[in-house]
Amino acid sequence: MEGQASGTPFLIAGYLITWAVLVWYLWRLNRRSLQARRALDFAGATRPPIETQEPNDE
Amino acid sequence: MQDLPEIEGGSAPLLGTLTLIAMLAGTAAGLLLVPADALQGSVQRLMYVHVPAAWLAMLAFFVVFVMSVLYLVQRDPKWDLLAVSSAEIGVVFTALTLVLGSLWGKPTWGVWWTWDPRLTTTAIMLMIYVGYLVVRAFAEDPEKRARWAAIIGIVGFVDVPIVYLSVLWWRTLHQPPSSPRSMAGEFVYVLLLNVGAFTILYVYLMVRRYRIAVAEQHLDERRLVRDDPAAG
Amino acid sequence: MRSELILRTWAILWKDLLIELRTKQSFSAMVSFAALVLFLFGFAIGPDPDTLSRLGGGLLWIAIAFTGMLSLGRTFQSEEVAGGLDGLRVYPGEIRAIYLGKLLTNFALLVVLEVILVPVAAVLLQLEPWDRFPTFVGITLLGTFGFSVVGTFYASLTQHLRARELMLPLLLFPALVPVFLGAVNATTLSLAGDPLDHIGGWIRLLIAFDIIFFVVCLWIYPLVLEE
Repeated sequence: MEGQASGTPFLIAGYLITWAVLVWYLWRLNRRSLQARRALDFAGATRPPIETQEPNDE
Repeated sequence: MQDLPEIEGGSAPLLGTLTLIAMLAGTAAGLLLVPADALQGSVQRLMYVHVPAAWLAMLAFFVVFVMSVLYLVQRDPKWDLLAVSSAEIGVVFTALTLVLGSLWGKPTWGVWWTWDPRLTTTAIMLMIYVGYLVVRAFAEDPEKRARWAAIIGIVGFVDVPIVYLSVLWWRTLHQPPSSPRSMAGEFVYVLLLNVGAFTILYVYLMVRRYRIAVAEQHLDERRLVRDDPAAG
Repeated sequence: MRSELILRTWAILWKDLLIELRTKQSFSAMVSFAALVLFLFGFAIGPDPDTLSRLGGGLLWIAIAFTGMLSLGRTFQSEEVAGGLDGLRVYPGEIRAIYLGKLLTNFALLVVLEVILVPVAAVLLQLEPWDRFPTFVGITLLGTFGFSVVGTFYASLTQHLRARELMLPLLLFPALVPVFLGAVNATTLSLAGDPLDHIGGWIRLLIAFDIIFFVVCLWIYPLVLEE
């Protein structure tokens, strides 16, 4: 069929783009959560804030 | 300060695996399982990603609307964080929907773009929610940012059907709008499988994105505490 | 309560119009800008009278929308001097009067602008609005009202944002699509003739959009100004 032959590249491009967008967005989410976790660790958010911390904690 | 949920881990890896399986199954079914459309040929298989992507986008914006209403009623920041998470995902998938529609349109209609009511409304919807995200980037105070964004989330969502109606009116005066043809049984099942896969994908992305939003809010609060001499 | 709302709205409208009357420069700048936009259309499209008159309705509305957008931002900026808006807000009573007053100010300014702009456009773009002048005026007023309703709402919302000059059109124009489509199509039909009698439908649609946007914006407005 003529339509089939001419349409296939568009089909492949469509699926490739869909998966590329998925991978890109997940990669972005991963990077952002990694950054957020590092920043929180750095700020000491997983422990009580520095002002109220016990001296023997360090 | 409320307790900080973990950013990774928890239910996310399991849900992620489930999403991946569902998405792979959907893609495989769409590309391999069903026969090519008699009229359009294999390019019609784009429907199995185009329609679910559009569904995901609509779902995401509906969630933005609900979360915006909840925020304005209860003023709990978590609704705002859920709304912005959903809006971001919605924008990504609206853009994908437009690209896929364009790729589908070129071999079938012969043009990349047509002023079809649904297509046009989708593009306007994308602009409305890009505006939503940009406003957030330009507002500094968290409470005001959440309130303004919620108002835009509500008015924008109300606006979408009105835009659709007006474009429909505009186009029907010139030519009938394109309408989907009725589909045979197996097409419907594959489409439903893909819609299901994209719905799980939405839930998974929401979990991930919301956790990031919560973590970033914690960081912002700490930064505010540090910057504010009265509190420090 | 109702009469108080009307009084407050009137007070704000009167105050803003007085400010405009005393600083005529900004309004003259608006008019020049609108005329300039029309000239740019002429340069972009070329001097062919048929093309110009066919596109006239759309061009006129783009000129009004661009100029109106510039003036919208100013309505709330004038309140920033000496905390004017805070003064209005803490004043007891219905806060919606602020919205209504600003809305009517914008509407009035745009109507005055159009009184000057339409004859200029008619000359430059070879438009013939005189055959159905009452219809043309009605459509223009309806479209301008819809523009002012949505525009005033978003102008107030974006007032405190950084880069608000950019944010206002970004939010406003997508939301305005229904009003814009209605106004442009009805205007074009009133200018170029309407053999299939579609104009009534467009006018009803324009009225419906005006009412919907007005109700939604008025209802939700107190949330915008909340402190």
